[in-house]
Amino acid sequence: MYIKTLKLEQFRNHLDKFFTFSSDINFISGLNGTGKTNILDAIYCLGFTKSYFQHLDKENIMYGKEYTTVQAECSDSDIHSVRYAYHVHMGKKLWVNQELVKNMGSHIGRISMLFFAPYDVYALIESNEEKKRSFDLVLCQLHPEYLNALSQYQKTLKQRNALLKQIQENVQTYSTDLLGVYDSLLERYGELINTYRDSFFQTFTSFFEEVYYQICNHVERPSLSYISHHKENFRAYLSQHHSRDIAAGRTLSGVHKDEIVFKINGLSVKSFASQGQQKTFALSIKLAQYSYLAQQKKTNPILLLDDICDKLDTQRLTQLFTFLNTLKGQIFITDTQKSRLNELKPNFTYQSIEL
Amino acid sequence: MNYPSKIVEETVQQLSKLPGIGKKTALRLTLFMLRQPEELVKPIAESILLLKSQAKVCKKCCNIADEEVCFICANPKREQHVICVVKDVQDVLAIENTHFYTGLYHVLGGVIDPVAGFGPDKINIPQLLQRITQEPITEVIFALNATIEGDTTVHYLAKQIHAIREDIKITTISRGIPVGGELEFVDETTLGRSLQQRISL
Repeated sequence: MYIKTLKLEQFRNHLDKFFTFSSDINFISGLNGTGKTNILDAIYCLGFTKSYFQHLDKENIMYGKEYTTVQAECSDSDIHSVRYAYHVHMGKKLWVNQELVKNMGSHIGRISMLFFAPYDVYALIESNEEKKRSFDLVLCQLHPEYLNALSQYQKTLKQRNALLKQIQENVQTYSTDLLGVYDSLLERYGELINTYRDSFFQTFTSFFEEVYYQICNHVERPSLSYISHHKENFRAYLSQHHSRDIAAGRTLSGVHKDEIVFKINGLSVKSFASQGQQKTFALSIKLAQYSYLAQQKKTNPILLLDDICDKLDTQRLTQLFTFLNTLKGQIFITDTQKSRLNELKPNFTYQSIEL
Repeated sequence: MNYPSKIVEETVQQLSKLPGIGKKTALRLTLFMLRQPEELVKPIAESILLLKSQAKVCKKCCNIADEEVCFICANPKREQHVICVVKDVQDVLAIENTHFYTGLYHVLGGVIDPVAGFGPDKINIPQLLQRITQEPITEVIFALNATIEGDTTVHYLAKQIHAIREDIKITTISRGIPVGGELEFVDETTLGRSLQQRISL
């Protein structure tokens, strides 16, 4: 599916704007502060009911105004219009095909999309938490059961950690029974999460390598490995390590400790790769997630690429755009230089929007 | 806000301590009572006073009672071998209103929630375990919320109960699609669970 038109009303710095988009590549250019990223974020709001940048909903409203709305017409038999609105007093509302969505959670995944922002490079390379968050987003869009297990796991973990802390501080007496209940809940949800992650990474690696080689021509050998911290007989393992967890005041093993390691030619991307290489790596991860989602959902998600040209050399950029052109879905790209795409002499057409 | 009278202000302050009552509602209630004849207002005040001095907690099930033992526990016609464990007094009322249950209750007064500072010692567990030992119970039904805190409490208590008497049947209320509900509007987790726990015809 793709977005045909977008209407923004009092959305951050856009007072009242209307755009018509192409079904393939849309190139949005404009100077700093003209609101390029805000357009991408508005589109993201329609799919995820909140900002990609973790802004509060009320921060989506133009400064000094009372409400904001984002409205889109789509080309899909199921979804032909989506409307997001936030009012300071009445809160958030979402309409699909003019019908109010009662359960916002059920909307997530109906319009699949992927966002890539400059911050993602830093986040994906530096922080293990962000890596996991990014992959969790993909898995949650595909498997409601995974989303549920993940949220139950996190709630249980929070309770167990609170209990451990209270035992450590002698507010609660140590009881194997109660800790044991949390152990078995963590085992139940952890096992599910682990199974999904395991089978995901088995197939995802090949998606990732394919994208990476297309952008940088086999000169570099990237690798991605998933290290699970789930244990066999996890419940028994946890109960053997109660004293260790009490001393630490938190749970020291489980899927929340899972690691994802990125390497280029056997060396850690975080410590040894250049900024351009890091960007290529992070972008390839996102694009591979895109291809994976597209294959699993049998639709083409909307791709939102914020400021991707910065830091990449012309050769990589040309290859990147050649690759993007092979994708079937709708793509939005922002850039400060209007002439950037023309300089690459692309062999494809695109729609240019200047702010 | 500047009130025209100190007495009005004091009443507003007191009423706004109640849950769900803000300053504005409190003022509205105060002015309403001020305009009403005394016969209407006095019973309100008296019943509140009586509430604190006379209402008791049932010795057996921890429900609210007028006597030592609540009217449900005191009723010999109720099934004496089934206990339904609930979180609050409101839950007893909700289940009573279904007219589908004729057994006894046990009100926990909370669920195990370490994050909120509720350990097992803060809820009415000893009373329940004492009943398991003393009364001819054959089944315990858990009717707690479908949250991690509710589930934790069920699993924890099931273990404790079985440690005392292994032969007791322990059940939980089933979770699924509301009556009159349409499948397409039910969330996936609930629908998935109701498929797993389907009933044969």
